[in-house]
Amino acid sequence: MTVIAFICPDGTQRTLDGDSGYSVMQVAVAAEIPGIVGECGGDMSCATCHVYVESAEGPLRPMSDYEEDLLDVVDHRLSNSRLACQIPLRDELISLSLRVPPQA
Amino acid sequence: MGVASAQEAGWEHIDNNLTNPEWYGSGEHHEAFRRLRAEDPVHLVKNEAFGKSYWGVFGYEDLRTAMNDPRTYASRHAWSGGPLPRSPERLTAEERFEEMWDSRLSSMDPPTHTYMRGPVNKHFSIPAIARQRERIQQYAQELLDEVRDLGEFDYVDKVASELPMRVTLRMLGVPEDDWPILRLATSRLGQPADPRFIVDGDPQRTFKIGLSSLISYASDLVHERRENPKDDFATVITGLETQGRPFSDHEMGGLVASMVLGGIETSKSAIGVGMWQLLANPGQLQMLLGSADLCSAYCEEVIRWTTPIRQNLRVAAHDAELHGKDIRAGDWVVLYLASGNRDEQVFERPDEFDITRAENPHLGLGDGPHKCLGRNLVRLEIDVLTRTFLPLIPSMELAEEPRWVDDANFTGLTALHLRTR
Repeated sequence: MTVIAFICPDGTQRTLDGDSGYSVMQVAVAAEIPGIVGECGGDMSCATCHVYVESAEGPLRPMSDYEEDLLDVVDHRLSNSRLACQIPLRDELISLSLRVPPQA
Repeated sequence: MGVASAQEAGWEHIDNNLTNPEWYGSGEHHEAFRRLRAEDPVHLVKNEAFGKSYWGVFGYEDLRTAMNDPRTYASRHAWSGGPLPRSPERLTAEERFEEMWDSRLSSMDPPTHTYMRGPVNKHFSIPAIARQRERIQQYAQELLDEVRDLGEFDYVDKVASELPMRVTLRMLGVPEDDWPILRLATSRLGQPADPRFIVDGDPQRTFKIGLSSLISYASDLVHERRENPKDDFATVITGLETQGRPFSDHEMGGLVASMVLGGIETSKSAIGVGMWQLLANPGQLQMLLGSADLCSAYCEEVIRWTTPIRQNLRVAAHDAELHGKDIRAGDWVVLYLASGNRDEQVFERPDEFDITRAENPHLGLGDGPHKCLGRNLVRLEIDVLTRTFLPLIPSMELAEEPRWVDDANFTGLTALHLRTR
């Protein structure tokens, strides 16, 4: 289980427990975190699960070339931008602090 | 021939009609699909008319399972990608190359599919497509200005086929003088039995001619743009690379051909049927007039109710079980999306066109890795077009009842004659 803190664009914070085997996107969509849509279901084709990774306790799966490429199209990309569908949860990943980008 | 005779004859009548274009034109298939979902949702179709038996999958959950399991229900083993081919005859490696099936995303499985689709996805992602809103808005306004004073016109011809054509072909950078070539080619591919497009009274030959014309145009276009880059999407395609190497002309050609066919024929079908259903259901139109925010729900319902591509072929890569049936490696498995979209277990009153459905998890754009590449483009087209035309719709009426296209693969209306009051 991973403890995930989401900082929403309006400044509110929500903390969720994510089970191993799911992606951050799946956890966020199930909890209706605003700004995380996950329209494609995790196939890396929609670019609607953009998050900033503020901190991580434990190993984070590195970015693939396709994720890197798809992040080209998002608004407000920063050096810590990731697609939440590409961050699988596993027990070694103890906690994550994520910020949801401002909505266009 | 009706449902009663079909039942008396067991499955034979249905099995042999599943590839019969006229059967779909009559609308009789909905009743057959209902019976299949209820009695034999994964059904061995002994189709003598087609010349090959295959599994037909008709229930929503089984369809989702198959679409999300490309390791079992694979796309690379069929001679061609997408819907059931119009003949079961095997294509040789040379023919597959010539018809570009070997370079089309619809004939690939992960990870090859991932290699080839990965670099393309970002151009069709939601943020990238959203940047096209203004451009599409301008085309929709052009179309409104072109038809508003016509009195009587065919909406399929003047609007439903025009908008996706302008969007897709201008995006690619196809010169307007060449549009008729691609318009005819895609019509021959999508409606090969239609008297307006058929060649020598032979739908099979008509389809091949349409395909060959589309492919040769797509190849010439990318070849030309590689030599003379312009500010268009065909040029963007010439810059694509994957796994450290650029796309070849053949790979680019396959992509352009898929974009043209996928971008024009299916959107045309959804847009035409969508307008017809608003005119046929005044209550639904009133709701939309009351709140344009329903446009998005309207769009999803149009795609569910229409299901522009009726079915898709997969081939079992290994032995598997689906709904208690033993599927063997090499068996053909046809996924009847049009049936899944009317599954009463998932959609209440599935035959009703209803824009107020709270949830609409339809399969009209596919699911899994082969989910429609241009899905957010067609959504945007329908949204913008509907908002633009909405004020005019109450002054329009049907000049005659439309007819369904006679085709086993693609749905749509042959025409939609409207009159402005």
